Amino acid sequence: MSAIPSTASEIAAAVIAKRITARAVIDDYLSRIDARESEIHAFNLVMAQEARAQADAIDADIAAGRQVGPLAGVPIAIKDNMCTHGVETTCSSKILEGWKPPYDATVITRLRTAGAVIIGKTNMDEFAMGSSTENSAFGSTRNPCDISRVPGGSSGGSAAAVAAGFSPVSLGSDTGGSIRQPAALCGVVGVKPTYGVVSRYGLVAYASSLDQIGPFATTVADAALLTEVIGGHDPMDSTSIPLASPSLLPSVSQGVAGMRIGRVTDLPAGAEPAVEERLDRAFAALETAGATIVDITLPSLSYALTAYYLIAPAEASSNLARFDGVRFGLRVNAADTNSMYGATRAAGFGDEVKRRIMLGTYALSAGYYDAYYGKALKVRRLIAQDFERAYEQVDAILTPTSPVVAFKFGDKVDDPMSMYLCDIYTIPTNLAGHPAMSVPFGTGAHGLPVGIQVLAPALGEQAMFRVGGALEVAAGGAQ
Amino acid sequence: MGHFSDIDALDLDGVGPMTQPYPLINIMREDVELPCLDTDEVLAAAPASDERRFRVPPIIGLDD
Repeated sequence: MSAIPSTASEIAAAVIAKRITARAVIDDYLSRIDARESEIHAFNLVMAQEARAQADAIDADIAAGRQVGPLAGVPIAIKDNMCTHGVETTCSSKILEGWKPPYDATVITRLRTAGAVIIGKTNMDEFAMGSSTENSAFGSTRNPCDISRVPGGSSGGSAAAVAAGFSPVSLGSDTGGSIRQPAALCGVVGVKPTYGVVSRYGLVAYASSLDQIGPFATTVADAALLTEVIGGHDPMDSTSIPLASPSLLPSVSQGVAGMRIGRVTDLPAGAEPAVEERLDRAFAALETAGATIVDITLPSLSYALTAYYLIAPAEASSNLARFDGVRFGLRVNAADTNSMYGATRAAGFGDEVKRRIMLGTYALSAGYYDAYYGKALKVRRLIAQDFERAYEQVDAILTPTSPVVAFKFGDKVDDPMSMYLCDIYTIPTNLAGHPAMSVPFGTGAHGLPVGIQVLAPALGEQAMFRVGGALEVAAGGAQ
Repeated sequence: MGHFSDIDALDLDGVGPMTQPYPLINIMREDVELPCLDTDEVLAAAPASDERRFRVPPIIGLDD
């Protein structure tokens, strides 16, 4: 038997060619988890027994000559807000602790069909609300690059799982940067596809008009492969775009010759100098590779944070009303139903979730709806129009993913605005519904990873992966 | 809420609200019969159930 390869595509190729067994792959990854998980806490649940059984089934299929999928034997970690049939799905919240969904999310079904082996459910900020994974009800995840620092969030467990080598790939969800920001802070690739490209069926909703599932990987090619597998129309999601999954792998190695890359001249300030320096180098690398750099403006971008923190909590306040102690999860008993609702939510939701629910209900309340929520929806339109104008001039845009490198635990958790500013460069894309990805591009302060964000127009994943692939090569990564 | 006052400076007259990024309307699945969720499994995940229903405390307060 050969050594276990490090990327998803290599693992699947080796398993299909019978150079290694899916069981050997899983055993290897489970031993890595055993060795370091107590230090990192990437997982809410490690599914060792189920993963071994799934791997054995794939090996049996291969031995019998049956067709297997493009992710045969590839271990994958899943953010704990995606429904897995019969397997606890908590959203890192006490209110859902112990709940076992009666069905699989569409992404889970597609992964299983492709032969991927689900290795565990990863830690996150409660209900995906946060940028550091410090808001988990089950304890923080530590950044594998420096365990005194946060991994980012809200998909911090999924980013840390890949960065620590616990799985070659993972899935997260991104409402305002929750895939890209932790990818940047942990030094891995993270992709938020166009809104509607990946089904949200079975994703526990935070803000339904912004949420999108996407992959983490160590290489841009693996991220492309995962996006191909989970993407494509799903009749179970009424916001799913009625198109087949895009072909993305060929784009990764296509290069950027002839592409026009936008540099935002009025980008909100605040990035650390070393992050800005990496961005300059990224532009230089793309120019060397044959792209043309074009200065553009996005004047409404500075209002994105305000629009987001009105729209997302407003949608959350509606979505999270379903957690009432009746159908799933926690119930705190009381004399009547209304008192039971209140007692259950008071005990089951954490502080940040309560803050956003209250913010959202206030923004939606009679008398304030037009002043806050209604106005935020109009600002969202302005931001989308800014992008539309920009994409008449360029094929893709480059920004930092995060203004800062991974920060220390406790540095921002008591100052919500400081935490919210972590997502200042990622939020605008969610409002517009466009695709974006973070690609590791060297290091900044304290030798910590810096991610460069590639933005593209709606359904512009191929352009995005061309740029992502070129950045990876320039950074000295996979070719 | 004070942080949100920055958008008051914007002229938003004539700008339409944007509720979703990729407008799709009247989306319905094909009218095909599919297996539904297993009732016992769904009820087993609830805090309390009785006779194939979710059980809740009295809806009207006991004082009434």
